[in-house]
Parts: sequence; structure tokens; C-alpha cells
Amino acid sequence: MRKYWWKILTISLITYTLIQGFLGTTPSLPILNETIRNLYFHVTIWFSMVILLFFSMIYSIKYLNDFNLKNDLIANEFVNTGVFLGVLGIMTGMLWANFTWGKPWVNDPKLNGAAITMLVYLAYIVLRSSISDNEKTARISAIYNIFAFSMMLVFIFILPRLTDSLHPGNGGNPAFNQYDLDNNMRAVFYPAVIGWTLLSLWITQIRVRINQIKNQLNNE
Amino acid sequence: MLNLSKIKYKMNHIFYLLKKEFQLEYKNIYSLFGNVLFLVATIYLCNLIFGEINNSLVWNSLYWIIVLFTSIQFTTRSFLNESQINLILYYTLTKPEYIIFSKTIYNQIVIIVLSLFAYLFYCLLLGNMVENIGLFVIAIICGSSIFSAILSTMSAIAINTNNPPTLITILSIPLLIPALLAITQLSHAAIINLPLVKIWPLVVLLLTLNFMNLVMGYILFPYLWRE
Repeated sequence: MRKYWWKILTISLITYTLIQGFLGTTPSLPILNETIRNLYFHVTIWFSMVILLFFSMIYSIKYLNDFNLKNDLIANEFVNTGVFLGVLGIMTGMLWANFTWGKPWVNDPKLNGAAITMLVYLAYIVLRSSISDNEKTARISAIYNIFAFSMMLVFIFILPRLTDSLHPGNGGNPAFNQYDLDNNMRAVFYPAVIGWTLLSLWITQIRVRINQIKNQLNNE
Repeated sequence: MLNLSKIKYKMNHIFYLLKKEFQLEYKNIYSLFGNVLFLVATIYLCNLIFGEINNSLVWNSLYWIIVLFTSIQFTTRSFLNESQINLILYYTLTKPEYIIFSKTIYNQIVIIVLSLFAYLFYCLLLGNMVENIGLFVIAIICGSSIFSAILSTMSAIAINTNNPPTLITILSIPLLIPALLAITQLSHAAIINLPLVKIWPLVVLLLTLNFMNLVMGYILFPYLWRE
């Protein structure tokens, strides 16, 4: 019980999110209508992606400090899960955009930031696969990971604020807090963020273990 | 008066490394001619395809795409050209920070020269649309400094892989997109001669990006160097 309480928490939070997301009451707003339910999925998945990539950068810094290959493995798996969440985030976002803005992809600073983030981390995966030596892969990719995360912060948090965006909270659009996030939705939103983050941590943990076993089998 | 002599020593160090870069380039001057030839051929190709360009947006974006790819091509060489023995020699003689700084400054100087040349040739074949040439030169200087800051670090990363020329493109283009967007806006402001008040945020953004890149390069490059 002491070790897997957070897994139970994950399952209950995700179940809560799904039930509330599909059946719960939501404020009825023009244009958004029922698509507002996507808030529980699109925004929260995107949040947990940024959290995961942040963890990945922390492990990369750890690797550069002690050159322990386990840290590199963890950093890599965090990026893999993060990219997966990013794909989910973009897909849910496109679905949402299709109904509210009329087409799945519009030219918007936040969307550009998302696209660039995905490109940067896909480049990270390509970089890893194109170095043959293990130690070297770890060192070089850790360096690129730190570089990429610090740039990504600029792309998705600073750049969109400089220009107009269709997203809430930018360029005359009402902000997140004041328009639709009534307390009812807030009670789902924050648990959802925690739920998705925990779920992705779980996925990462399993993948790290699988890779550790693989490495051990290869060594034998 | 703290450590004035130390700063002078550092400057001297970087200066000598820069001098070495120029001498090396002079020795292999044909490869620089290769880049110039690439520019000439590409611009001529654009001339054949487009004829005269009347749309300022097209003019601007075409120019920056050409300059971007020339810079990528040029900076790919900056670490590839060094033999393994040379790298070991630097390792014993200087600090990695000096090396990345000298490479960045050197790349910036050459990229500025290349993009000015590109501008002249571009005007010759595709017509000049820039009204505020001073601002355009500022855009070129900002652009070249960001290009060289990102591309130098990325080429240092890419030489460790199996396929450096491809990797440097994949690694640096996503990182360059925001900078490139700001630069094209800045140079478009030069083309249509916008009042200066409107372009301050862009210049500030570019300087911030550039500063961040330099700091990250400065912090991370020593780790790249460790073998």
C-alpha cells in the first residue's frame, strides 16, 4: 500500500476526469458550446507534457553532474512520454480548433510554439539514434536537451505574449480565469492535471524498467 | 580595478583564436568560394524562376531563406574542418569557452559578409525593394549574430554524430524559427519603412534570444568538449 497508493490515486483521478469530462455539467457558452469539455483533456495534457519535459531536463542536468547512465535513460524516457503527450495535445487541439475556429490548423503563435516544441524534441530523438557510442549519446543528448528546454520556455511562454493570439488570455481575448473556468470546472481541471501527470509518470516508470531489463539482458 | 589584466588576457586569447580561424580559412579559401558560388547559383535560380519580384513579402522571405541555408552550409564546416589532432591541441592550450566564443564571432563576421554580398547580388538580379537600408543592415547584423550563436553550438553537437550535415539542419532549424520570424518582420519593416517605434519589441526580443543562446553555449560547451 505504501508503494502503490499513487497508482490508485491516478486511476481514481483519471476516472473522475473522464466521468466529469463527458457527463458533468458545463457552462453553456457561445461558439464553444459543448467543446468546452476539451479543456479537461487538451489543456491538461499539454500542462503535463511541459511538466514531464521539465523533469527530463532535471535528469539531464543530473547526468552531466555524475555521469550515471541511469539518469540519461530516465531523461530519455521522459522525453518519449512527453512527445507522446504532445501528439495527443496537438490532436485534441486540432479537434477543438476545427469546431471553434473553423479549421484544424491556424497561424497562431501558440500553435507555432507547439509545433516548434515537437520538432525540437523529435530532433532530440533523431540525435540520440545517430550516435553509436552509449556514453557519447548520453552526454550529447543531455546537452541538447538542456538547450532545447530553455529555448522551449521562450517559445511557448514568452513569444505568444508578444503578439496577438487566438488563444484565451492573449490579444484582447478574455483570459482563462475570468470567462469559463467557473468553480465547477476548476474542481475537475486541477485534478485532471495531476491525474494526467501521474499517469505519464507511471508510463515512464514502466518504460524505464523495461529498458533497464533490456540493457541487463544485452550485457549478459 | 578588479582583474583588468585578467580580462585583457582573456580578450587576447580570443583574439588569437580568431586570428587562427582567419588564417585557417585563408588556407582553405576555396571552401568559402564554394559558399559564395552556392549563393550566386541559388539567386540566379530564383531570378530564372521568379523574374522580377514585385511582392515585398516574397522578396523578403526568399532572401532570408537563401541566407539561412547558406549560413547552415557555412557553419557546418566550422568544427568538421578541424582534425582530431587539432582539437586535442586546443584542449591542452585553451579553455572551451574561448573556443566557442571565437568560433561564434568568426562565424558571425563571415555570415555578415556573406549576407551583404547576397543582398548586393540579389538586388542586381531581383531588384531592390529596401527603402530603409540602415535598418536592413541592422536586421542582417541581428540575424547573423543569432544564426552564428545557434549554429556554432549545434555544429559542435553535430560533429559527434554519424551524419553531421543532416543533423545540424534538423537540430538548428526548429530553434531558429522564432528568431527567423522576428528577423523577417524586422527586415520587412526596413522594406516598407515602418516608424522606429513599432520595431523596438522585435529588437529587444532578438537581443534576448541572442543573449540566451550565448549563455547556454557558454555553460554547455565545456561538457561537449570533455572526452
